Amino acid sequence: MFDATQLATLRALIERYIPHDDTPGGIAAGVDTYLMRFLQADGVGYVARYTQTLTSLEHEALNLHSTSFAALSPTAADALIEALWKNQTSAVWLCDAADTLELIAEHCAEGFYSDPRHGANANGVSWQMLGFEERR
Amino acid sequence: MIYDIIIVGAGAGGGVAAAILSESGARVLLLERGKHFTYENEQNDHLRNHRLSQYGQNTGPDIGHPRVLVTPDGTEHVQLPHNGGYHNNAMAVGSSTMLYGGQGWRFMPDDFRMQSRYGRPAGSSLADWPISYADLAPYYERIEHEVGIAGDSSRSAERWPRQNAYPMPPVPLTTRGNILQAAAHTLGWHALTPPLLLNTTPFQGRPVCAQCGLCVGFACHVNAKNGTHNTMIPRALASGNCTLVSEAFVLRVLMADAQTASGVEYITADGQRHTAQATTVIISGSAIETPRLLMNSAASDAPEGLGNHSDQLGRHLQGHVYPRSIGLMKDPIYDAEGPGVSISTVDFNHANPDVIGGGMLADEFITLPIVFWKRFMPPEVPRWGKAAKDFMRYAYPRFMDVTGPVQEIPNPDARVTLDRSVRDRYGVPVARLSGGVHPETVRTAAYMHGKAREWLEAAGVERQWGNPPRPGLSAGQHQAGTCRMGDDPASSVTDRNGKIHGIKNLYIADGSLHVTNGGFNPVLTIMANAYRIAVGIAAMGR
Repeated sequence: MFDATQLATLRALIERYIPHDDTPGGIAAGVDTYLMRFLQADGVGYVARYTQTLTSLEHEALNLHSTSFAALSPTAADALIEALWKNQTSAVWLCDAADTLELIAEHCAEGFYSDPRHGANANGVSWQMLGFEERR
Repeated sequence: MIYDIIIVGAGAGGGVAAAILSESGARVLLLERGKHFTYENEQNDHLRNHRLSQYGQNTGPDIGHPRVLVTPDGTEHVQLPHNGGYHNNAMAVGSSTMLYGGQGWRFMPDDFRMQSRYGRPAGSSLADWPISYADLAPYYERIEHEVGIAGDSSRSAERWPRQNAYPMPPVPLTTRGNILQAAAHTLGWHALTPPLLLNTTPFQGRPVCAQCGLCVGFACHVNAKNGTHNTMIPRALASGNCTLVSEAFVLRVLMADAQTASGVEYITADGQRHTAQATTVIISGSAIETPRLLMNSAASDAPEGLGNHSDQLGRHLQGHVYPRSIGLMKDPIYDAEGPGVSISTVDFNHANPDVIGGGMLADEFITLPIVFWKRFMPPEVPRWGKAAKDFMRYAYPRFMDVTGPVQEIPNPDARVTLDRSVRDRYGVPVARLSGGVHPETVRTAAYMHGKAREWLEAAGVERQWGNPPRPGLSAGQHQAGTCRMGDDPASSVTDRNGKIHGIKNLYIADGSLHVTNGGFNPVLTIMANAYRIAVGIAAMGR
């Protein structure tokens, strides 16, 4: 679905969206696995927008920092994302940057906070963080 | 074979009617378009359920059954069943009673006489029911004992004239419930634990609620939640007189002549069309599908649909708007004790200054983390990054919310019609929903939102947020009102017995009969009214 650069960009974006701190972040919780499954099922209609976004995101990082998005410092990546959520772009975007980045953030949260059967929230790590219990 | 009774729809109303009539000796055919689910094939998917249907639902309908929603700006939107504008009820044997939270409230005596109490606001169709609380009270009691409910008998008796205690004691107060009860006392309000259709003691051979935390929106994994799927419908089948056909979609009601129904035509999962004949036909499809079926059964002498000679069929669509306030306590209060709702007040259902009616307020069923993320986050919190994660981590254990159904002031322009162009997978015109709530409903909702905020403030929240409801179409799982009962055929679809005016043997038994919908979850009223109507039909058969 994605080439190696796009995949690295996606994984870096997931980790900025749900960062690791004293509890697991998006990658440790398996949000990348969730998204790859989702984009082959209910989310199949979003694949083109994901591809366009990941390509443009990489171009933004190269334009502004001469490095790949995945290699940006957390601070630099967060500043770039924040600007893009305001549609302050420097590269070519084939889709609306803010809308699509928001959409991806929602998909990440759906994986992270929903039930583990979908591929993320492994062992209920987000639920442990919140104290939520599914007593079944 | 000619049945005595055909019932279309095995939900709250149809399930009750099937039990009462088949036990009376009538031969009943119960047709349900949904499947006969068990817990095993209805799993607890947090993204596909009747609380959050982000990508589908744990029951039908499937995408072959769209509807059309007309928004206030006049534009039409095709809605799939998991879209919010579809106003879905679960499609299953037992319908939403298999998945609901099961708040089993009686309507209050004044809920049956809203026009007499408040007058009729301009532009509304506020009216009295043709029956009173006293007419329904014996059937409320039967449902409470036969379906099974857990409630606070003594505090309930302060508000509702009742003969006997609830069969089971109320659910225990949660940590949140204790705080809100104390806050209510500070304010001088009365508080009580809501009556819930679940087991707090073993009941009818089924166990006690496991307090799992995944109640509303999901089937119960220990079968301790009581709906028609595990009480009334099994009773109907045990009588030996009831044939249940699931995945059977009724295409139209068949008429022998203008005054006499002869049966129904339906299609089964294998694509076969069938005709069944009966002495009496009862429609229990809920407030959107029931008028749709009657409109799709139009005949030359009823060109606008059966029971629609006065242009009342499909009008007065209503549900419940829910004002909600969410607040954060200083310390964690979440204790994971399901079902979660444990405290309420009915002090503001009536007698409020300057507004019509009111509603019940209660705390909430346990909120899934993803539902909190989707619906309960304050607007200023970012949707990504450390700030979003930090807020979830801080707020989820500390939040409490108060909400409740506001009694709606019905209006004739909120309605179900047939769409002229969109058809379902069987080629049948789909329901078209249009209109919105009356301005008085918005005003009452704003008032109730203030009461919710007052309660949370007294509970000691550090901050709170949440907006009162906006005007728009209201129906959803509490949908009601589209085939209202009445003594005057000019302003109603059925008589007080649920029989459609002008047709000798065609009845309705579901929420569409409700003239008004109370400031309470309507299921106990739907069940009790179906019980009353079925008893009436059974009495005629003897």
